[in-house]
Amino acid sequence: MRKYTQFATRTIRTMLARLVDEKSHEGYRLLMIKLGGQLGKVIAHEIKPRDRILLICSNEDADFLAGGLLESLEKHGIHHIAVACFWNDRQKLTAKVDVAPIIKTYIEPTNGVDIFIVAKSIIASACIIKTNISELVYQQHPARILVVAPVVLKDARPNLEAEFERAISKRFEYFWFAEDDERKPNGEAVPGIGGSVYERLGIGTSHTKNKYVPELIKKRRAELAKG
Amino acid sequence: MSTGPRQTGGQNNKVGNRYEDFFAAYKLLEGIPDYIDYARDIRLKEQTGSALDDLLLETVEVDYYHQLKSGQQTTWGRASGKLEKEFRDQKKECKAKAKKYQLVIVVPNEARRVSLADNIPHGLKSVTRVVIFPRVKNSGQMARQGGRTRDILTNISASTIYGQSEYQIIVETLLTRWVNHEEDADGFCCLGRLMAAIGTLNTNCRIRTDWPHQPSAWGIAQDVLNKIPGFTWTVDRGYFEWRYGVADKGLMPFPCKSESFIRFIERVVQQQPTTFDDLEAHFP
Repeated sequence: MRKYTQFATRTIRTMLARLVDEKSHEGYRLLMIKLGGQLGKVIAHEIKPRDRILLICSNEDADFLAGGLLESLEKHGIHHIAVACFWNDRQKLTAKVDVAPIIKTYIEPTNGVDIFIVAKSIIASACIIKTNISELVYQQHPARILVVAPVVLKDARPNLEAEFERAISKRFEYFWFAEDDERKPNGEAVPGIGGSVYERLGIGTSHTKNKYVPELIKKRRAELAKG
Repeated sequence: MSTGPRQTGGQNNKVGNRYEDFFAAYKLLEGIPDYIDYARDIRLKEQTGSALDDLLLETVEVDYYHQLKSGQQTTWGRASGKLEKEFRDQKKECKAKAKKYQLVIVVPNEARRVSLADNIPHGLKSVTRVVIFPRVKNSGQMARQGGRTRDILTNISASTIYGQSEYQIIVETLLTRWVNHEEDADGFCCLGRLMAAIGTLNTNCRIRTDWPHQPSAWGIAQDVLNKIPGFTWTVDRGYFEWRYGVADKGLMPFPCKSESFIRFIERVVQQQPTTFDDLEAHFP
């Protein structure tokens, strides 16, 4: 059963439905970019133009969901945005315990951070975002942590909050369009985002997706090198 | 004091969440530096049947008998001196053996430690210690503890570039391996066996290791890597760790002694990348 949040307009609900049914990689990518844009529109009202932001995403989301979100925030006059991109592996220690070791990161240097924006195409166990937030939050001490996703699985929020002490978890704010409560035996949400995001985006499988280097990162890395 | 029954047997899918489980994971963690550097093994066992049976830690020289008291009410005299009697019984049992021993009470805070340490009954002082192990709710919280826990994690992690996330995976792995361990012939959890099991998992728990047999191609690969502008790397902890520019860094998911790393070396030697972008295509 899917529950929509107050942010899910009719247009967004249609986009979420199309995401599940979309057949082509290109079409799926475009929908993810648009959903990122819509999430950007929602959270832009929560951010002051002078806030220093770190946008945190996984490599599979950087060109699509996070890219759309970044562009949308910039259109809303929010420009102090650094990007942190993570390449995580995913391992099951037991049937109930997952870990997401970090293989590689691209983290732009900042002069202090006020807000983390953690963007993820779908949040289920929250394993990956817990890992990535853990790696950064104790060094950068943001005042606010905005967790944004088109779709989450029920209990994503308590799963995430249980990981952190109250001093950190009270900084979390949540922005998503839909919450699903059904999952397949392999853990995928139903309808979720229509299956494995890597395969739907056409960037490989869960085993090969870490070879994908987002264009957004290549571009920003080159700009950073120029100074 | 137990916070729940220990499950035994069954599937390999138990989750450690008791005070005792976190403490056992801590003792395993504490044993790892000496295991890596000097091959000194330790063994742990719960419910030994002794008077102090919460956890027995066996080293080559000394046996440590632990009684875990996570509650607030523990005193030597409570329940008609039950705790004192258990310690005296344990002392008597240990004296009958030739091996050195120590009796340990584990409590969650300084107030309990002081209260118990200041009132150790006559005849037990020389063989009894009271130590603190804080209550934690998950592996992340345990990994975030400062002091000795952090020192050990910093010492044994394969990574110098990733901190909290790596430490947490090490703790989670130890915890999971502890609650699902296969007992040796004496019913113990053996650190050496556990480390061997961790070593067979390529990507989830990166503990520093050695790299005794470097392939001949490594020399050529080093030359190639050293010529890539802005790229620095190290294999000091048995894993390939690298940085590029001010924003990029990484740690290979597998150790240098693995077949996967040898294949990476071969790709570098064959393709001779001259820029980071070229090299990045050969990362796993």
